[in-house]
Formats: sequence, structure tokens, C-alpha cells
Amino acid sequence: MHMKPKKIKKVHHRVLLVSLIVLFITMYVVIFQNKYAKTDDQSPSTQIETNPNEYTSSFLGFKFLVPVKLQPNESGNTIKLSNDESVISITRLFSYFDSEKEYMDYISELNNYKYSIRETDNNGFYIVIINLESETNPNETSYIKNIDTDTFVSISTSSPELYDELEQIAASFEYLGDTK
Amino acid sequence: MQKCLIHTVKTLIIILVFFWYAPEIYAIETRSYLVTDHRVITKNPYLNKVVFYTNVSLPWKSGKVVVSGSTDGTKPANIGWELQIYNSKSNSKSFRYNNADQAYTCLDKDMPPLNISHLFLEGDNTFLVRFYRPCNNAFSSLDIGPIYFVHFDDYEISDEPFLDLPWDYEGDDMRFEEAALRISSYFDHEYPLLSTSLREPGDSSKFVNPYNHEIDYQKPYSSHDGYDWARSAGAILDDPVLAAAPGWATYHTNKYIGNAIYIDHDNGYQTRYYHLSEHDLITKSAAKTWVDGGKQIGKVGFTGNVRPTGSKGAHIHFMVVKDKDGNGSFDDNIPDGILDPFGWQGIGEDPWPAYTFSYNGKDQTGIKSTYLWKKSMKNGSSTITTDGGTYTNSGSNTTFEFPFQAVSHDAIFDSVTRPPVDKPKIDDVIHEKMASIGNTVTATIQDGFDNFITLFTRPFTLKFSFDAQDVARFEKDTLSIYSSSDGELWLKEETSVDIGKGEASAQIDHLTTFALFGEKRDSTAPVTTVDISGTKMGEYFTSPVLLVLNSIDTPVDTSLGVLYTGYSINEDSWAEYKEPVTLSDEGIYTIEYYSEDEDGNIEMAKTLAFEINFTPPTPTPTDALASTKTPTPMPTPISQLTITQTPTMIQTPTDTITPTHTPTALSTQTLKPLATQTSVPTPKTSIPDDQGEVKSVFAAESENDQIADANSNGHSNILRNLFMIVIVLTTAIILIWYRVGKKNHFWD
Repeated sequence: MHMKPKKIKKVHHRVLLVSLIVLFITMYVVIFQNKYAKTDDQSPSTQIETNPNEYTSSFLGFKFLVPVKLQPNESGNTIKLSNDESVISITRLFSYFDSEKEYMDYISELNNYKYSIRETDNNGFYIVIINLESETNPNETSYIKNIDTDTFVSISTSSPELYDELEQIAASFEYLGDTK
Repeated sequence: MQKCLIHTVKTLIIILVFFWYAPEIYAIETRSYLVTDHRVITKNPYLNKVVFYTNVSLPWKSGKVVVSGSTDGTKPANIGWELQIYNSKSNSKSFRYNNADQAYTCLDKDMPPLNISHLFLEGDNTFLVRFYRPCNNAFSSLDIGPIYFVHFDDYEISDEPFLDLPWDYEGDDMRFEEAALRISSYFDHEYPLLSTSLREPGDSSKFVNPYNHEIDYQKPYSSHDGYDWARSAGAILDDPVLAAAPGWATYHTNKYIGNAIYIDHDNGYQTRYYHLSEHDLITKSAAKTWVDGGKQIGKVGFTGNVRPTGSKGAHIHFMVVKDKDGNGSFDDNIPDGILDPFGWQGIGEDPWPAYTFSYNGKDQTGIKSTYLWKKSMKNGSSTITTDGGTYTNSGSNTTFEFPFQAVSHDAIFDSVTRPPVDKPKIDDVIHEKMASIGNTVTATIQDGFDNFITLFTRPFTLKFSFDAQDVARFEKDTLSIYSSSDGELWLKEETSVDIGKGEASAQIDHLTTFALFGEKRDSTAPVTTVDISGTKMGEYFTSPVLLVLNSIDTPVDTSLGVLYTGYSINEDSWAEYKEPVTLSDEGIYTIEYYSEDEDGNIEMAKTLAFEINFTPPTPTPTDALASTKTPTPMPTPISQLTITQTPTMIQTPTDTITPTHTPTALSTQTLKPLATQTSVPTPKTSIPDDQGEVKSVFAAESENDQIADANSNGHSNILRNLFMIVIVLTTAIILIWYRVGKKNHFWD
């Protein structure tokens, strides 16, 4: 008569014990996992998610990573990367100079605008802010780099929301050499 | 009566038939020139023999000209008694019309439209028009007009391409499209006013709007009215400049154009070549000299106004002028006849033909540009006719060859280069080892009303070109063309591959997106392992830690090796691993690392966490999980740890990729743990704002976020470890409680 309730009590305690351990382990795992999930979300702003593929233009000799949500379209000396609202232009430019500053002095005089230029530590590019003095399009931001004799590449946008993408394209940009 | 009625009906029918079938005079354009409005001329007491006279000027090259009472050239003209017309350039080019058809007779009646085409010479013509009194009768007034010269101009300047580039680009091993696009200055469709005193309106002066409407503020240059090609295009100082087409060459010069040759191609177009060298000019005379197409007319120079000045600025300025008014002269069509030989390939309307302006006292408009190069640029939109044709998309190295009657009527072929595709889904299975060789391409054909033709009864040939290097990292026997209607699911096309020729081709009956896929020789990401060494006490390092990353690219026999190993400490920005890293400060460290191989295979990033604590907490007897080791002041041997690696995410490095090898050097760099850092420096680019103040362009905000995140992450690490200790202690207490209870038979 006394054995039955005692047996039930023992089982209850074992179940309680195992349940507590399982609970603690589960809680630890959940917290641990959440911590790393948070790490994924908090990647630095300069590390933009990219398509797994690079875009290569054999005609222009350009190779770069394509930021997500931007669709490339190549025409002549220009590759446009656009979404529904904004666009980044990657342009091959020919001139008479091998210096970014000389080229900008030359083109700003011919195109009648003011600009500022500064060297960056991003893949040898210079950053240029073109002051257009226009209400609709006050500034154009671009990265420019001398890539060959008298030849430059410009990566530019007038959309501030694409500055990170601009920076990332410049960082991943590779010139594959003269295509002729 | 009946006969009379029948006669009347017949007459009416004849008249109606005559009007219905009256032949219209063919004209591309009908232009009228006023000779005189309606006027009554009076003279007291009598009119002179020449009652009234006037001059009329008009250009002419071809077509019928009539004298008429209406601007459409159909109505009779009220000329009085006699009309006399004299071409001022030629005495033989005159004509006299008398209403009475007799000399010395004055008969006042209207003159039917009179054909005077034979009086015209090619070019500008000026006529003296006299209204004459042939009789001796005394009249004191005459009623004439209105009267017009009406020109049914049937001269049409052909839009047929006839030009080639004006230097020997093929001698430099360049294809047409390669050389043509090495443009040092573009034709500005908004607006080409450089050769005039006119200035562009508003913001148009800040950019060039090129032939494809790809506006870029750094493209040269606003107002330019032709194309410049220089050294970068192979047009080097003193290289021969060639006639773009046959024609009559003449020499011109001034301080802007330097030595210039103009060539009239006898087809309504003139080409101009500025800044030529002094040497070897085909002529230094304004007299016409015939030159065959492709023959030398001079040399590349820097005469006139070039920028930069001197030999550095040597280039060919090439422009095309259309004889818009058909008068044989091109000078009077500057700027309204200047056009772009690349045509207008942009979306929307070409701004130049719609631009109106006043110049030299005349209201003018720009002109439509047509593609005048004999060779094709081979990209973008083209008309496909029932004859078929070949179209190339250079971005993807593809050629579409359409056979005869592939389409039943003219349509528009368009192709767009798309990015490469990796791990395509074929037959609902993702093929991890496959990737496209280069870019992919989407092609469409539509009828001009957005009705797309996707299926063809006669298949076309699609060719992908590649060179040996492109396919070097692919298994050759796996190369094949695939198509996809949605860009995700791919279908294999029956493909012939000629490795020696560098060509893969397939017969296709539909237009979608196409790719040349192959199986990569190495699709396996490299494996990175980490070694950390230092003095270890329990779970803590009590000395600085040396971190060494080792990468192996597999499979070894077909791999090219590791391209890049990256690491991040405590979520700081990623850095390339080049040498062992020493971590010398106390704190909790989380290391992430990965490698990429030369084939672009990227390893999943792995994570490792540990703590450096020079004064670890002393274990207590109550610590159920205390180390069995007895803490000792003596240094323990350096231990090598085997770390459990936890894949977390795919990270793509944003730095420039440069080939590196697994480092073996023992030189070290010292880093501090996040917990002791006051900030997390991330390379940022700063630029001066308008006031010269330096601002961060790319979000100082995000930098602050990173610092905050890093600090909060350090706190969360401490909390996590505290929580672990609580769990362990609680578990130990429960175990002890259970064992004590069992020993004392509490549960029995």
C-alpha cells in the first residue's frame, strides 16, 4: 500500500530534474544562437551584401561586384547599374592626361562646373564631388581612377542612398587591361 | 434636251475624273516664296513699261518650281499683262509670258501655274521678276498678285551609311566598334553650338548628352559639335588622317580650326577634319580636289585651338554637316545642319532636332541625326528585316544569326548584357559545380508596338565566343548553351562546341535569356584552420595569444590555390590575413575568418571565441566544474588548441583582391581586444563640403552604430558567461541535492 505513492514520487523528481537540465541547455543554446544571429545582421555598412557573381565587361575590360538590387546594363562606354529609382554609372573616359586632378581640371572647365577632389584609400580611386548648382540635382559624387594611358574609369551617382554601393563597386573594381 | 442633258453629264464626269486623277507633283517638301502680295499699282498719268519689279531668292537642287497664285502651286496667278523672269546668274536663264501671247498686246487675265524649273541652277538662285506693259495703251493702274514661286523639292539626301573612321584603326588591330568608342570628346545632342556664338540654356552647359543618352558629367564635353579621337584611339600625332568617304576636298583655316580639310561627298553631306598638321595636306587651296575614300588627306596635328595646348592635345576633330536646305552650300548650315554620325540611340526624343534658336537673323531648328557609319556598332537595338541578319552583344560575346524570313516584317532586335550566373538551377536541381562562362544575355524582338516575338518557325543560330583563358577553369566536355525564361530555371540547348575556334553554337527557336554554362574544375571552397597558442589556465589564456590561420585549397590536383584569407576580430572590419596576429590585451575575443580561392570559391566564415585573462578567478571548492589543475605561478607549457569551428555566414571581402599565399613568416602584428578599444576605426572617405569643411560622405552614423554595436557585443559576452556559470552552478546543486536525497532515501 505504501510502495505505490513512493514510486510515483521518485519518477516525478527524476522527470523534474531532467526537465530542468533540458530547459537550461535549451535556454543557453537559444541565447547563444541569438547572439550570432545578431552578428549577421550587424555587418558593417561598407560590407554590402553582393551577388555571388562579378560583372565582367570584356569590351570595356572592367570587372566588379554587382551590389544586390542593382541591374547592370551596358551601352557603349557606360555600364549603368540601376534599380527602380536610382542609378550608378560606370564610364570609361578617354582624354589627354594620366592624372585624375588634371583630367578633372580639364573637364570641369569645359563642362562649366566646380568640383572638389580627394585621394582615397579605396583601391586607388579619387573621390570627386561635382557641384552642379542645380536645385534638382545639386551634387554628383563619383570615384575616378586612371586605369591606362589617357584612360580613366568613373563610377558616379547623384543618389546619396547609393553611396555605399558606389564605394563597394570602387573597392571591387578591376581593370582587365586594354581590350584592343 | 435629252442630248443636252447627256452632254452635260459627260462633261461633269470628265471634269470629276480629271480632278480625281489630276497628277500630284511629287515632293519631299513643298516650299513657297512670295513674289508679291495682292497690290494695285497706280501711276499718274500713265504706268511705266515696267509696271513693277522685285527680286526673289531661293535655293534649288532638284524638283519642279512653278509660278502660282497660291502657296500650294495649284491656282492661276494674277500677273497683269506680261511676266518676265531673269536669273541673275545667267543671261540665258530667262522667260517671258504674255497673256495675249502676242507682243505689244495687253490682255489682263490670270496665268495658269507656270513651270519655271528650267531657269534654276544648283545652289542659291536670285531672280528679277518684272511685271511688264507690252502695249502702248495708256493705263494708270494695274492689279496684280498674290504671286508665289512654289518649289516642289524632290531632293532627298540619302540616309544610307557611307562613312568610315578617319584613321587607320585596323592597322592598330582594332575593330571598328573598339576604335570608334575611344572617344575623347562626344557630339553633344544638347546642344552642338561650339562653332557659333550661341550659348546653351540652363544646365545643358554642364554636360554632354551623347548619342546613347548616357549622360555623365565627366564625359567631354558640353557644346561639342563633332567627335574627337586622339592617342588613346590610335590617332597619334603625325599619323595619317584619312578621308571618311570619297569626295571633293577643300582647304580651310582660321585660328580655331587650324589646318582643316572639308570633303563634300556629293550626297548632301560634308565631313570636316580640324587641327591637322602642316605637313602632307592633300591641298592648301579652296579649289576642289577629288579624294578617294580611305586616302590620306593630312596628318594628326594640334593646329588651331586645342586643349591641352601643344602636341599633348593632338587629335582629329571630325564633324558631319548636312546640306539641310539643299543649296549646295554647307557653311550656311552651321550649326543647324551639324549632326551626329552615330545617330540617336538613346531612349526618348533626340533633343537636337527639337531645339529652336535664332542665328544670323534666321529662326532655325536642329537636325535629326542618322547612323552614317558603314560598319555596325553591333550592340543594342537594331532593325531586323525579313532578310534576317547578324546581331552581336559584345558584353556577353554572343552573336545572333537570323536566317531569311525569320521574321515576317521589320522588327526591333534588342539585347542586354546580364551578369554571370553561378550554381544554376537545371531540371529543378541546383548544380553547385556549374557556372556561366562570362556574362549572360537577354535578347528580344518586338514589332515596335511592344508586341514581342518569342517563337520562330525558322530557328536562328546563337553563338557564344570565348578564348582559351575563359574556359581554362571549366571541364571542356561540359560546355553547353542554356536558356531561361525567368533567369532562374535553365534548360539545356543542343550545343556544338569548337574549343579550337573558341565557339559554342546552338540552333534556337525562341528568344529568352541565354548563358554558356560549364562545370568548374574547382568548385570547392578552401578550408581554413586556426591555431592559437599561449599560456592556458582552465578556459582562460593568461598570456598574449598568437593567432595563425592556415588555408588549403582543395581538391589539390585541380585547384589554383588560395587567393585571399580574411579575418575579423570582434566584428571589426575585415582584414586580409598576411601574417600571424598577436593578441596581447585582456578581454573576450571573437575571431571570424574565411578564405577564397583563385577560382572564386568562397568558404563559409567560421568563428572562434576565447578570453585572455592574466588574473583568472581562483577556483573554489564549491565550484562543481572547477579545473582539476592546481593553479600554479609557474608557466605551463604552450598548448595547441583544437577549435570547434562554427560556420556563420558567407562574407564577401570588399577590399581589392590580390593574390596571396598562405603566410609562413613569423613576424607578428599586435591587436587590442574590442573591450579595451575606445573606438572601432573603419576606413572612411572624407571629402570637403562646399565650405571646405571635411565631412564623411559615407555615413558617420554607421560608424557610430558599429562602435555601439561592438560595445554592446562586449557586454553581451560577459552576460552570456555569467549566465553559463549560473546554469552550471544550478545544475551542480540539483545533482548534489539529488544524490544527497538518494543517499538518505528521501525519494524512496
